[in-house]
Amino acid sequence: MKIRNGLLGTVMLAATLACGTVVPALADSMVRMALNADIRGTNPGVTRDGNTDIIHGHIIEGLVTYGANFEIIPMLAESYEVSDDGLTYTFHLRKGVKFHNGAVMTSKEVLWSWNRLAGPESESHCKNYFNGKNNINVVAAETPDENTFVIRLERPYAVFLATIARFDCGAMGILHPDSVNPDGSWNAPIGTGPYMLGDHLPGRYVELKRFPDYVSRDEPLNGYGGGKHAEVDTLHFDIVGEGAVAKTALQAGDLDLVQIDAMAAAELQGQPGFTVDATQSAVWDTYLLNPNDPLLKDVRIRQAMAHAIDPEQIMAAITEGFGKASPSPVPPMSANFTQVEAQYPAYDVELARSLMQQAGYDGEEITILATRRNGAYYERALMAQAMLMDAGFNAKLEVVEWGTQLEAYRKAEGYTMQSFSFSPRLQAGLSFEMFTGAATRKAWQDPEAIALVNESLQTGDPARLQRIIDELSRRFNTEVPAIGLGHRMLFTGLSDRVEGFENWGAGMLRGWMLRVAG
Amino acid sequence: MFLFVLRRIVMSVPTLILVAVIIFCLVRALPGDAALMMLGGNIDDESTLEMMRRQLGLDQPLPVQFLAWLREIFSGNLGISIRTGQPVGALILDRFGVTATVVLLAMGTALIVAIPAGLIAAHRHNTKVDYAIVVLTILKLSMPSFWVGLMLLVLFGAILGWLPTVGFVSMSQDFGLGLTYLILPVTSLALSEIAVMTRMMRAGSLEVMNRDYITHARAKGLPERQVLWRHVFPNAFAPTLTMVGIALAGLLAGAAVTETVFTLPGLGKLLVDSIYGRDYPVLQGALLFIAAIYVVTNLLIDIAYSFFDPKVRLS
Repeated sequence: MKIRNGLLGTVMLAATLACGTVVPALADSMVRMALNADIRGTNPGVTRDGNTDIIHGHIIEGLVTYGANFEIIPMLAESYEVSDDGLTYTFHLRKGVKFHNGAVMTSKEVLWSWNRLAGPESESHCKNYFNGKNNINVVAAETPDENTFVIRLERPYAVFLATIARFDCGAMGILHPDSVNPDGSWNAPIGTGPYMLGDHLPGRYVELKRFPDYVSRDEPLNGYGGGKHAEVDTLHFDIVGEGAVAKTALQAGDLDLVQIDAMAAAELQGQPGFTVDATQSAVWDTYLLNPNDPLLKDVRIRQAMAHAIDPEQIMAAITEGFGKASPSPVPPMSANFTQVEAQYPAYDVELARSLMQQAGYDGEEITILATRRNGAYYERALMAQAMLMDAGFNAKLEVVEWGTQLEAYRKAEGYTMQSFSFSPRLQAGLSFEMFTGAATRKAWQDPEAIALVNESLQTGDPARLQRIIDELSRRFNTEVPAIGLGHRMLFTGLSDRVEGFENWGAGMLRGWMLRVAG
Repeated sequence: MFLFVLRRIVMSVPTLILVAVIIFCLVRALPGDAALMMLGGNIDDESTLEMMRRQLGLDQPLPVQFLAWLREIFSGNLGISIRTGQPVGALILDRFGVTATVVLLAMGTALIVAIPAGLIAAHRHNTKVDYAIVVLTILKLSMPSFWVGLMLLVLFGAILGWLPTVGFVSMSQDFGLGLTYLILPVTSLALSEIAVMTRMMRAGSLEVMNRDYITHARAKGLPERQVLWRHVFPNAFAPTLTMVGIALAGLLAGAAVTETVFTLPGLGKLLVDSIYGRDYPVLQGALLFIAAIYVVTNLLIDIAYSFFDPKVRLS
């Protein structure tokens, strides 16, 4: 038996040694990265999710996009004008921009692309942003000449440009009509971005190939726009569902760039051969309070819960000390984040107990809903439960699968409080709108707050907008429709083989920044 | 035997239809809304949600949805993935190919190691060799397969750098390269099965070794090797074979943990992803396919049984 086991070991060792020589070497101009799930498809604005948007964002570009501080900047438009009445948007297109098939972009393709997503026949959810169902009603899309594109609105809407720059709509990206087959069915994206779609083996990997004829803007890189000078020939995204595996692959040299969690970031930081990029994002981690829960009808209970939870401690714990509390829905990198937005209910257990007593709290159960999804939903909920119990609340933690939690969120039932997150909203009014409104799922249903939010989305006056945002922030801290925690830290582990990368608060990976070191 | 096989195949048709009904009902009873998942939880208004439901065919009454799915089954397509737009049948077959390769290699390796190990442990009962084998198998059974997989990756991928840690290349594309991607997942899966089967084989062999016919074989002077392989092995292997059948079907149905750790695009990973993404057509198709795997595997095991146990007749 000893001999047999010894033989087995020797055979395995020999096999692995032999195989070590055939593992493929990386091409010099290839950077390998990890996506935690496969892309949904190649049709921007139609087949999409977070990962898919990242891939599409390399292939296509819109007329405008977001700058580093979430300001709107032109992208395929050279410039744009808004009429005094706020009803007409005129985009002057950049000249000489080429599609991946070599054709030159004109207003004809811009109009075709607009109708593809926003037209009545569109299969995209984005059409509902522009057909009057959600505040914006586009009454005309026109091409007065081959370098001009005009949009006319029924009524002014200040966040129209921010809406067309949305990542989930592929920034209403401009595609060549040959992207679809003659029968109108989808074929493949022919965009103007710095990368073209390469191989996609479902469940295995996606590849992007550098577009050699890409026409960059002259400005320096700015957020998702500005100059894009792609240097790496191939961006290879392996589908790696498990974070621990991705980190191991980075350490093994099989991947060059991976999104990691806080614990892995702390472990990798300082290790020779690796760097860690830690950037605060605009993803808002929060505890949503159920507007339909009878217990929470008393504002003192909501205030007591807010005073019982310490965002600073929780953020420090879940980010391994990298992150700080920023409970306001408005992200700190926003131009509208001022001293007013920096305020939040202080951690004060005695005050919480006093408020509970005043409200006549009698041990009613607080059900905290959470999921084990990436993003520390569970850990956040667990710490909040401990803090609430410390203050005297009868808090119970219920862990469910993400789909179940989303359903509970939509129906606003089955929870008192839930550990939740909102994807980046890159306009301060939208930061409140995401949880304010009359819909069942919205945590803040106060008519005055709704009116303020609506006004923030319509005013074009920056000073007025700031006043509205400040007023909403004060009310948010008093009425406590949700308990803010912070804006999520994004951690990226990089091998020394690559350089030039920086994360961005909007959470969109920008592969065109990457360079192979040396 | 032909009649036996034919009868079992015919009998499996109503079984699979019943399974299809149960699968459909269970999948639709899952909490969560596929349309909501498609929109990533971002609901700007109910009309967007309704539009997504219409696109996914989820606005139809359940019986209509079930009949539509049955039509897809009988046409052999199994539907279209609502997440990726790929045909479900082709998707499952593609993923099953990966899983089957890994599982069959792992199971073959496990049998090659576990059968002699179990026999030797039983033959050397209560000796150091027996204790060593028992301890090793208990040790392996106590280790979570996720952890073992990760440790293999760390050791052979990150520390030694001998084998790739992510990605997959099919052996049909490049045999040598494909093999390097299979070594770790096959080893990980085989280790688990070796532990289980060695213990089964050992227990079965110990029971057989106390039988009169083994004593008789030894008394008539047969060499020990012949006693073990000709008399102990066939009789002790029958219960292990049952375990092999169950394990094989289970693994073919998706070694989800192994596939996740080693980034294999297999059936188990597909199943897990379709559950999280509420991809009903893929989920239903994969579950039905798994039910069919169990039917086929049980049939094959029953046929194999007749070779090892003369008391079993296929009639």
